[in-house]
Amino acid sequence: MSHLDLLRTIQRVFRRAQLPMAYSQGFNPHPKISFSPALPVGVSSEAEYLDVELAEHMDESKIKLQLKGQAPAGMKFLEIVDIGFNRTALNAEINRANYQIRGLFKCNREDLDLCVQELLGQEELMVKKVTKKGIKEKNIRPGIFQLECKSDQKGLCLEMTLLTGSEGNVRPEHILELISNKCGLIIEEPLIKRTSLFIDNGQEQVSPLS
Amino acid sequence: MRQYIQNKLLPAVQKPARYLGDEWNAIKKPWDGAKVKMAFAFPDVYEVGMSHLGLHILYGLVNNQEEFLMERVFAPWVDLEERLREENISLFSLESYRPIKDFDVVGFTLQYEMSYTNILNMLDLADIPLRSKDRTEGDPLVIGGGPCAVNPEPLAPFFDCFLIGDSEEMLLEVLEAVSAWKDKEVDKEILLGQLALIQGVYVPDFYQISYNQDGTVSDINASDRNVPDRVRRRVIPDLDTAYFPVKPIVPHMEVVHDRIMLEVMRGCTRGCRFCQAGMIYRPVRERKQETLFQQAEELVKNTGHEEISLTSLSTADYSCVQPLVVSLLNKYQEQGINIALPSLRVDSFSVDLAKEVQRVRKSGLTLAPEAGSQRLRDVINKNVNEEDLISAVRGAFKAGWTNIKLYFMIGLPTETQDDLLEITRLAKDVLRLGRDELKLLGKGRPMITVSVSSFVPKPHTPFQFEPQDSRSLLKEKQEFLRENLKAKGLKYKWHNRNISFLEAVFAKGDRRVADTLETAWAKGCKFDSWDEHFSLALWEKAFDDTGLDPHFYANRNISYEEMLPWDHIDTGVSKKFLINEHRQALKHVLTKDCRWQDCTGCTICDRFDVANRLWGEVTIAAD
Ligand code: SF4
Repeated sequence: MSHLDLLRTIQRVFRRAQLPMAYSQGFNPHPKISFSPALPVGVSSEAEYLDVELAEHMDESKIKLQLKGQAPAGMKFLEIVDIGFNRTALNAEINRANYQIRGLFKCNREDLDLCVQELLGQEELMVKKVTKKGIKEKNIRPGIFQLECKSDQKGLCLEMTLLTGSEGNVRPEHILELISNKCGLIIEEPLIKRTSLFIDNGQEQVSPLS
Repeated sequence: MRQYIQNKLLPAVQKPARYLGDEWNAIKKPWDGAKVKMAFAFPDVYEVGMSHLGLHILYGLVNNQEEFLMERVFAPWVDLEERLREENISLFSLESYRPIKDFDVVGFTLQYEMSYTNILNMLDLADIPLRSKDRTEGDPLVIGGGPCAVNPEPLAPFFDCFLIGDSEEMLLEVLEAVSAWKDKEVDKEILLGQLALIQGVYVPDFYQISYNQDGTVSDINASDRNVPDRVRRRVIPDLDTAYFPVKPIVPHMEVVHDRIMLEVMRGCTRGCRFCQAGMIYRPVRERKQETLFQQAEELVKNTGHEEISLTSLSTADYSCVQPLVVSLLNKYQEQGINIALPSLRVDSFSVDLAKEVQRVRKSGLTLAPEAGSQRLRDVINKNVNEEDLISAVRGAFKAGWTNIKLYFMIGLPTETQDDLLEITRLAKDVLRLGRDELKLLGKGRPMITVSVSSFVPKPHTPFQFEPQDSRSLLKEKQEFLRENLKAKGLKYKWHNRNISFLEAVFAKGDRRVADTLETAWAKGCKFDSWDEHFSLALWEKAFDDTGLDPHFYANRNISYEEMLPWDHIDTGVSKKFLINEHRQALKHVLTKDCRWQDCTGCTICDRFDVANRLWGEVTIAAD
């Protein structure tokens, strides 16, 4: 699902739940909804955030009750918090994302660990970005805050914390690309999951709901 | 299977959301709980198919019955097709991911001729033998319905039966017959015999066609069977009480018409002589305003859509359109839900309506005068004069629209260069008017798009007797317009004339072109309505290989006496009426709309015991 599809879906969920969304003024009113940084297509997620302004005040519990059973398969409302009117937009606040990648690892743990160490040891990691103006090279190393190989009963996985939001965006696919290009290690049929989003304000890391 | 396809195949194809099948309101009935299982097959991609109202109607209708279930399948895009063929995976339904060949019935909707190769391709992908004579009791019953079923002959060998007309009742009767047949374990032949007795059902195998030396049809013979000589189209007399789905599927991804479709009426009696829909959906049957209002309420609640579209062949003609629009606006405007009117007439009443519902003039306004000159508009019975057009366009500019799209057809019967010149003159007049009006408003510059399609003579219309212009003549006409529509603020768009040519062949084709169709498909033709897939060269080879002349079907003058390949299909509109209308056309005589004036004699009301059903006060003049 693309970000636009998600936006449309959420509006429809709210309308089905008969929640009175607040609309922007003007000729072409649209509901006042803002989203956490866009989830790349094909990436699943355990937690996304959205701000919705309602036309009238409602209790969190009532909202939750009305939303019940209105979300399509694969989508669930986890928590509803009243944040008042003075918060900045989520997109501007959230700047870190955690991802987990599973799949068919065509390599062993040791090689992968070595590769991760090598990547983290670099000052510069260039990846190609396709933009409207053509292909551009970009250094994503400053946007990689953590990268680690783990194993559990389900097998190997990669976990990482990457830059996201208005300051820039590093995609988990970039990491796969680097692992393949720099170390020749391949992970087939990768399943990528965003496990959380948070805010790093320079002093501490906080959840968007705190 | 679902997991395998979703994890292994879908990540590698474009728009995987087309194939997920878990949209909001999708119905997944337990497989074993249903006695008759039907797959609704749309021979084009998901986005196109999901925008089709008929799918939603039949999907809801069939799934509402305890003993039946219906699932969906669309033409997979070429990338998925490639993977399915590589891995030998049979075409599957979206809801249960079961092979299509496991269903009892596969029903294709026949919306346009250029989707025919996709039908064969889907059957092949589903491992179902293409021709009904090669299928056995273990294969699904392959049925078809929709507007193209009024001349089903080019598809006859591939289908077990066709449903002609409104399906709401007929389809359930067909499924009941299948259900009863399943109990008895007898030949399919017996089932087909049963089906042929249901009004509206045509079993092509029971009708033998013979031909004259010159290639025309000499006889359509059903005499050795207990089946009707002519198959009568099924008509639902009262649409207001007919089934309408209030929990349609809400797609995840954007589709062509991504909104609530509220069917305000069926049928149109304006009588445009080129228009097949205006003949084969008669008479006009409206829904009551209260019914629609209630359906809208449930639809909004059940879908959460942000737009309600009032659909029909000509919504401005709905007798209660104004009060309906006002009451919907009053209720939904505040909730951010728009009202859309997809089919406007060329008059200021329509523009005023559009003005009311479209507060932002974001999309342009489309008007279809169809022909440039008054003379030719009289020939085609398009009851529009230049004053109507000019006042409509002026109203639109005054209301703030800057983009106007004008829709014309070329190659209409009796057309001359003067008529084409009139298209260019009209377009330029509109442009000039736009400049003046917008200048007064201080609103920038107008953009006029002139969109031109080529006339395709369709069966069961007064123009069925007419030839299509040759492709070289169409080319000349298209180029003439291009040369003469050059101006700042004018955009000229035209349709692929080769596609229009094949459309004409298959619209008026007989049973023999089925061979060409199969040959073309075998050569790789598919998605023919998509410019990037259409290959004239392959089609030409297919006609060569099968020894048929496509011009015989598309470009020939047909006499009134000739027996036509679709003469045994009775849509309710008599051939005599069509002949008469054709004569009137050549005399430039208009025929009025029988909704607001006297009956004009198409004969359906008497013969089929139906009538135009209007609920509102008639406040709108016919012309
Ligand atoms: S029979 Fe007469 S009234 Fe009925 S649809 Fe035909 S022309 Fe109109």
